[in-house]
Amino acid sequence: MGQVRRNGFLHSRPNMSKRERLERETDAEIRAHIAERVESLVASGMSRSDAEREALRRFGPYDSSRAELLQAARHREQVLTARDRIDSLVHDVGYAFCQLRRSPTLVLAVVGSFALGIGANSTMFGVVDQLLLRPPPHITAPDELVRPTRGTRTLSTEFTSTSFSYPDYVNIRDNARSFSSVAMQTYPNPLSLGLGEDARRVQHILVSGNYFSTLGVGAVLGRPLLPSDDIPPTGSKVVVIGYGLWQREFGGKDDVIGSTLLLASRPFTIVGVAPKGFSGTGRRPIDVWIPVSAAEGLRFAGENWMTEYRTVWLSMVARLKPDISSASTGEDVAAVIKAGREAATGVRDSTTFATPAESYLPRRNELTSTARVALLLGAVSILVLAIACANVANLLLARAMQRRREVAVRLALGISRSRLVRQLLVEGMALAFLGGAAALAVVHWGGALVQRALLGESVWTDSTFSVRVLAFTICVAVVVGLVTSLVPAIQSSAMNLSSSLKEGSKGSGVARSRTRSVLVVVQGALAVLLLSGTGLFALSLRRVHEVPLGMDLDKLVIGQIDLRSVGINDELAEEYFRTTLDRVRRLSGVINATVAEAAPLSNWSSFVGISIPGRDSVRSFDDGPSIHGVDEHYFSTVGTRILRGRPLEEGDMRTGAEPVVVMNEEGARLLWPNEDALGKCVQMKDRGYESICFRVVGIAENTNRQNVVESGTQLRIYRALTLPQGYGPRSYSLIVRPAGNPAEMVEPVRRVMQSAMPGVPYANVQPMDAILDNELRPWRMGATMFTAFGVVALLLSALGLYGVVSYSVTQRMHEMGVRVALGAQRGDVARLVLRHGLALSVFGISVGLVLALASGTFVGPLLYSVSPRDPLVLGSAAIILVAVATIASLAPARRAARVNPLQVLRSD
Amino acid sequence: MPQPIPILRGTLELLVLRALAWKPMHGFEIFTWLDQRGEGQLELLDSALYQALYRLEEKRFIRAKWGVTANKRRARYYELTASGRSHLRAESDQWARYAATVSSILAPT
Repeated sequence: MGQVRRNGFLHSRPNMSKRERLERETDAEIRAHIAERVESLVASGMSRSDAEREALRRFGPYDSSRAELLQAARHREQVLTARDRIDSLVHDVGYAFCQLRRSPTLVLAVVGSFALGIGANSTMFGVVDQLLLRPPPHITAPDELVRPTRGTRTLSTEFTSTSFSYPDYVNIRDNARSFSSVAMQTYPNPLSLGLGEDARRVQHILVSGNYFSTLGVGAVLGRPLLPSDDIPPTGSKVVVIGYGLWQREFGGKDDVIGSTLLLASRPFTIVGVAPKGFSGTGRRPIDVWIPVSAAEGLRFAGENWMTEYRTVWLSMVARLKPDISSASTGEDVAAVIKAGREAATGVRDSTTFATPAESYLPRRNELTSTARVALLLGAVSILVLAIACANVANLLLARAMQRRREVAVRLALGISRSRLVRQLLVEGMALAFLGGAAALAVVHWGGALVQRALLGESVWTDSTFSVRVLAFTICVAVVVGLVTSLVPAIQSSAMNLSSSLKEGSKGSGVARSRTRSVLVVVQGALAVLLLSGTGLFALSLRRVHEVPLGMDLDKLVIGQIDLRSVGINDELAEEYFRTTLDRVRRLSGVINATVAEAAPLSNWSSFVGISIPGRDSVRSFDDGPSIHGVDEHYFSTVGTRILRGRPLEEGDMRTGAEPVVVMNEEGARLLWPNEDALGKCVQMKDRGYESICFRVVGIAENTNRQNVVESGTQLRIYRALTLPQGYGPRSYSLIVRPAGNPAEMVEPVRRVMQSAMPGVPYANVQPMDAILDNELRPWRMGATMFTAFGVVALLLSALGLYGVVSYSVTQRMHEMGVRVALGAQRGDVARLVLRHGLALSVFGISVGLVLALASGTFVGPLLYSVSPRDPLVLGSAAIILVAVATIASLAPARRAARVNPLQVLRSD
Repeated sequence: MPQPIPILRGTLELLVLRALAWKPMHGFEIFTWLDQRGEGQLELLDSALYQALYRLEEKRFIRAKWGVTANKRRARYYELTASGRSHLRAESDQWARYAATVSSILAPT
């Protein structure tokens, strides 16, 4: 495409402004016109003075006509300039694509590097955005919403809590002056939808009637819950369902409003559907919102929920009044709680103190370990991008050098240097945008996986491909396009014309190869950094797996069911579990099964005070003693070894049997430091059997109570699940040890649990690793992502090194030829090249190791029992890189060794 | 001599293109050429002519170059571009059909 070039005129003053020049040109044109007319009038016989007067007259009023013409000319210039710019840009883009089509390998390498680099960044941006940047969706002015907290001070401790009792909530709602509106909510909990074999699990929360109005959220269909639905003591049996449930259960049909939902065997009428993606103030999906006063039997606080101060079971969402800061609400809330409690109990409340309310925005100062790992991976993805950029810059530099002659010719033909730079930039941007487009594919396919792995079950994950991610990708593409093409562009434009033309394509280009070497060193350093990270996380994960738990959890299936929620009494519950256990034990593929009060590591424990006859008091223990009701199969199923004495046996479960307990090693050591605990007597301060003496019959190995990784061990007592005195357990878990894959056992076990008794709610059956997974996720995530990024980094830097070494061999072919001609051995030549490659990588490795040591402080807290400066890990990373560098330099070295001196010397 | 006819809006540009289809000319040459071909019937105004030229240049139907006149004077010469030429062709056909139709309607029966 040809470009229209307009000729200038009157170049006498080169620094004349465009506007001035235009004015001069227009004036010149007017003068020429008038002069020509004068000539023509004179030629037709008029006197010169008459002709001049006539010409001026015909031109019309000079000043206004001139002004009109000037304006038209100015407009013309503006339009033409703009068009020229667009044309030349279009031309440059066309030229760029034309050039790129001629080197498809280069395009593939560059676009591939960009796709990985930008893709990694966009993916991590999406994750970090969800974890840390974005407020919960659909809520009006989420920055005004706060979660009130209260402080409690006892003699020994002090703590802050976000949990309140219902009367606390009512007092704060009615009397606190800091808030324009205060709503309550419980934590999301599973609930059974339908019964028996059709039962499914849904997540519900109980809310106050003003919950939706406080959040400023409406319904997409029907209406939200209203204060009139929630009038204690008995509200209306209505619910708002989540968008997900609406789609799943009702196919998104409009006639869902008014239909009945059987929740934990209670009928509720659906009045509305919440907006898509709305999950309240948290991130876990919610299926059902129930007015708290209508949730008979679903409330944690029991019958006296409206007046009971001691049970704290709900949290609050409060909207701040204008000009009130969350920090200043503490005194207000504390005063209201104190006044309310004192009025109700008549006792002075000396334990409550003021603490500021918390924000509902993602908490930046208080990062979860998943968020910290996500941030770290975000930083790592930037490193990957940096490596990719170094690679691309390297490739473009090499290309720029191959094109020296072409560029020199174009410069000699008069193309301006700025135009040349622009063309190279356009080429770089074209590559970056192609890479960006490919990166979006990476985000789409890979991102969904990463997000699911990192965020787990979260409603927001269905939007991996948000507008924000797209905008981010475009910004990154622009930046990397500029960065990677700027260096080659500047170097090309600064080239010395005559020497380039003379040298042809093999010129020395010392400065340029220095730039490339620096890039390779940077790549090597970053690759070492990433490889060290890979090693550290992999090692952490292995160490976590090696933690002795005192249990063998690899192959267990856990089944839980909340019979109380559908009103099944304790006696029936006992019968249910007896039947279930019986049937499960008879399932083929089940080695062992047990019923216990709580599943291993389930965070559920009853803490009960204990006493020992003959001692005044037993000192209190930080975290325990925890009392655990188990049946006779427990120890053999879970895999906890009995160190001394015997486990609990069938006989111990029978009515009238002697009350006995098994104690863990730590308990025995704490209570009877210098004696044998076997045969000793413990009393529990619980539910009316304080006077009963439980004889210790066995000592079990220590186990973790709550987490895989926890500090310290606690005193733990195992007692019979069904106490002889007829006290039933507080809850039940079914624990099954299958012979094969636990995942395959989930459905059979669930079927048994669902059908062992008619009208039971949904049974939640999971393999133990699914439960453990939540805890191990940060390390597993770190290990996997670091490995992925590390491999990419290694590949990219190997490519970069190969490129540089191979290029320098091409440059030095002549020198090599001379060396061989002068009698150098081919091995010497190869060694020379290898040494060059290794020198670069060793330099890079040293820089990388220094960086790794320096970044240890940040990575340290994310690792498990691995030092961030672990010499083995850092050493291995270095060795891997040396190996890769050697391999990358081998091919160019071989090429150098095969040099034919005759051919090389003759080509000069 | 009868009163000259004012040029209909938009027609001047077409006339200028026609003039330049003959050969590249500077402003006064175009003026003279049109005046002669129109046998003095058309009311040509200097500033209107130049404005038409600038508009055509803006649309890239013509382009300008500085040159020297027969009287050794520097002047801006205009020449037709390829797109100007095809525009002229299309517009002339249109104009001819239009004129013929209007004339046939107006013709006394």
